[in-house]
Amino acid sequence: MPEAQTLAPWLESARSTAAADLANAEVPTGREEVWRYTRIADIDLADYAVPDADAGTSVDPIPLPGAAAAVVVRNGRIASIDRTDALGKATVSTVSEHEGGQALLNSVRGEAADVVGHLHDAHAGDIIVIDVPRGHHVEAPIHIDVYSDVDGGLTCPHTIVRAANGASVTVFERRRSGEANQLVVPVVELDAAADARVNYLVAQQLGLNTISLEHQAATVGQQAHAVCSTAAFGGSYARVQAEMSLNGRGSSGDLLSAYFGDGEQMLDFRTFQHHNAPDTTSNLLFKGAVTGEAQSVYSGLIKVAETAPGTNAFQTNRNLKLSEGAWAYSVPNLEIEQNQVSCSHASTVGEIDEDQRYYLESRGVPTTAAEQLLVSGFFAEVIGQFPVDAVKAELQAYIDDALAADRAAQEAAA
Amino acid sequence: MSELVIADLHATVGDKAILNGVSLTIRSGEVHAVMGPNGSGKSTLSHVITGKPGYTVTGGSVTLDGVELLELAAWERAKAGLFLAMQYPTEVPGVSLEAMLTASAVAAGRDADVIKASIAAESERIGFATELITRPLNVDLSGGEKKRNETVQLGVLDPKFAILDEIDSGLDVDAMKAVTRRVEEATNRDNPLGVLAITHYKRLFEELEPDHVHVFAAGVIQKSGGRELADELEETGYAEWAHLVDNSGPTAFDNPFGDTTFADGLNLHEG
Repeated sequence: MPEAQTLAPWLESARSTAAADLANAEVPTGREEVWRYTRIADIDLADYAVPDADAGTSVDPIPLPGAAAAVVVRNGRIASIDRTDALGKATVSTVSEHEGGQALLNSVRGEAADVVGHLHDAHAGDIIVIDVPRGHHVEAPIHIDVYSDVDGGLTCPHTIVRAANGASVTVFERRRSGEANQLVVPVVELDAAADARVNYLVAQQLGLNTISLEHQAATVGQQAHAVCSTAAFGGSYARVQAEMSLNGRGSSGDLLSAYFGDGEQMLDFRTFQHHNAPDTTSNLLFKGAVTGEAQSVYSGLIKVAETAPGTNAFQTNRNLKLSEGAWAYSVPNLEIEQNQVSCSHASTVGEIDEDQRYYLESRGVPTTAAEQLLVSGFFAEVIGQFPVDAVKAELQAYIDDALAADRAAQEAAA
Repeated sequence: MSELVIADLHATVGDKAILNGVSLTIRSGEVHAVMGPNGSGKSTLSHVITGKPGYTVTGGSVTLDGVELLELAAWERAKAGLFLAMQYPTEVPGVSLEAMLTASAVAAGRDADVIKASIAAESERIGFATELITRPLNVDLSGGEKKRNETVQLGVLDPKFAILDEIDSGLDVDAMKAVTRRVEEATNRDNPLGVLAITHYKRLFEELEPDHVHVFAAGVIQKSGGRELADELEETGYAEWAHLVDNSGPTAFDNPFGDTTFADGLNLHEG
């Protein structure tokens, strides 16, 4: 059910504006604070172009059993949307055909702030809107399966999830790509109105020649709750900027991530917990492991506005370094303009604990299996909190397998 | 009948010699008690035999039925039939008793499907709370629970030889009874367990009857005898050997408080 290629006039014009902004935008040099320790200077955005409209691909989606709806996106365009009765009154559509699409688009992320944002806005493919009306609960998760494989391709997936007052919805997005050199610039916007609940999980399983520059943004209304979670496994350089804005009194939000990098990968996370209203709570838990020559960067900011007394903000980033050549960098930050707050941040970079490994080995567990148990246990804390039960075991297994492959490779090299 | 033979074992930590020629032979069904003052190297003996990292063997051998254990990885020694009940069992966040023993069974080619039932039976036997089976290993457990946990593992893994490193420390009377009775039973079954029990005090022997008692100081066995030697030590203490103990330098003895790490075992990031 490919979408008609005519876009709403407002969207056409927004893209033209973005293209003009893109032409005038400055390319980051890597010296800017938000681009420190990144590979942005190595990327020539002009090397990538939007794939032709007929550049389909035959790769099958990985199904999510029991999904309320399933959207398949191939090379930037929607290939199909399957809706079931479980959607009820909720809708799954493109922003172009959505009645309120113009007001919705970028309402959470805001105007593009840099060249990457303009690039996205100028070249976004089909933008998906999941809209859940007031008081409506979509019990089963909604599934989005994104894949691209055109050499030199630029794809800009964009998912908007809106839950109106008292509504709830869970969305699982899986993003993969082929072995070709590609640039993927995703945007995720989560909008939880008062008393609503929005759960989002993305499994980033891009190919190792794909660069990903992702922007996730969530706004949470009064007494509402949002979960924005990321399993980041793929990409050559994969960056996620994640922002949780607690705008309504008593709102709360979780930012979660499990990441595993090997080979030459670089996984880069910039998080923002914006407390803008009283009695708001944010929980951030990012846990990652790097092995081989892989690198990870975590930089997080808790920002408590003067308007947000009674804030509770927690930020924890833990990293496991599984090889000599791997490198993990972690910088937590606080910026507080209000006295009545309770904030904590913790950041660690360490190796597998030798005593823990020995304990397991002394019970007859072989070294690699012991490390698998320990690493798996390390990740279980965060994967256990992911809001999509059906994929937790798969994500754990991915890490087990990746670690086993890494250890086998290290043994073969030794 | 199996035999664990420790012959002229020498080991160092860094530049410091801790074991200075230990020789001891344990046969199936025998209980050997190794008693000695703090700092004598008793725990090091258990760590070197089981392959804990951080020690350098500088001489001697440890064989189990003729197989040289010192050439094997720690997990292979366990597979060969060796078990260590630790003085301070390590907390392992994120890994349950069940997951660990299942992985061990898989590696040993044993039927992993019966592990669950076996853990349940052993737990029942010594009063280890069953809700702890699926919780992270040793995390937030009391001293008594940790030792019962070690004993459950001993029962499930069913080794040929067990080293009990001060299994009596941190135990209340009930836990002490349950644990030592379980070990004593294992030494009396068909294919009986051989035991090397490291301890300060003879209270361990109320349930677990030692066949041989060895006084250990300055990294060697100073004197061997029967049960009566334990009684004698209770009277006289270790004063006779105190002058041999060198407490001048850093040692590798267990730090009961562990290193300064977070609960998930990671060190604080410097910087």
